[in-house]
Amino acid sequence: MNPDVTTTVPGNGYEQRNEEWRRALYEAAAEVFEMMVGEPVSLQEDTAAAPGATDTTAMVGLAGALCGVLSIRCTTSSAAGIASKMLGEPVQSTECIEQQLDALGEICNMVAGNFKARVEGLREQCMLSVPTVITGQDYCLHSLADNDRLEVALLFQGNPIVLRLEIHG
Amino acid sequence: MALEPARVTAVLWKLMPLAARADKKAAAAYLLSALPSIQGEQETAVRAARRTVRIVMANIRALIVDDSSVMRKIVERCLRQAGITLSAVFEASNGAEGLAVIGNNPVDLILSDINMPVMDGLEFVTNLQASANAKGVPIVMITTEGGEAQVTQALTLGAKGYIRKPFTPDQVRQHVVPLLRAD
Repeated sequence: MNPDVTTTVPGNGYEQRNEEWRRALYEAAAEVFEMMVGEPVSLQEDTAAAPGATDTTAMVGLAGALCGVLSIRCTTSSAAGIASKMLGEPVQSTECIEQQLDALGEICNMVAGNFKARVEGLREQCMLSVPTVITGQDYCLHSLADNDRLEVALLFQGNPIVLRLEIHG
Repeated sequence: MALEPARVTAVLWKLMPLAARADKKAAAAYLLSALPSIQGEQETAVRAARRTVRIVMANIRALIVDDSSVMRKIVERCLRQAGITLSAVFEASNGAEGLAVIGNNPVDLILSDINMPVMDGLEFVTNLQASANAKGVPIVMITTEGGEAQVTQALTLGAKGYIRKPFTPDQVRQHVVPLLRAD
């Protein structure tokens, strides 16, 4: 367990849950990258310092006991790096953009599945949507509900990857 | 060829009186003379078993159904890494495409995702029952969904096994190879 994830748990049960879920998110992502990408991710200490220049976003919806959206944001270059590692061949050119997006969507899907398997009560009671991938920076994600939001910043090959869980209920 | 139980019994039967008489020298001499023969039979059995595994893992025609082309390629690579010789690999991005493929192509192995657009893996497995080309073909579900309910449903519908994503090539080997042997 990375010591950065196990910060002091506040007495508030709500915050404690968020801390546990943040840890589960990190562990889920770490396992997915280790097993499917073949390269580890490390935790970025300062979430706020994560650069906003990410231009590829994969999202998976969660419904049931937990309603929300899990997203993974990274640069096009990182998406290409992930796809290349997964396929064991270079997927860097713009002609391979479909494979890059596909790979990031599948990573997001697996992290979501792995996350819910780690949280008691979610494995059986929570369903996942198929992934959606958005490219570009000029968009805003709006939700009607007043959301709770968890964020975990990671580094893959030295580049930022941000996991975000928007909790609707 | 398996090592004959009768052969083992015969060796033990001859060994027991010697052991009972505490005739260590005679027992040791007998064992030394019998062991090479037993070892030879074992090696023959192992060679035969390996040959059998090679035969059932050769010329496999696999259908891989997943909405992610990257995952389909990873699954194919894992099958090859498991030592399975693939004579044909058919791909489909959802259950409906999978049914169309299998309608025209006999296969020896089907691997399918559950969570897919158009037709999901559970509906695909249900519809496979009506396909002549799918009769007796082992189906392995590869899924992100960790829920027991979906897995149980898939097994009830006819799937022979399931692999959870994320997975390693070794896990694919462990789940798939015994199904090919059984056939």
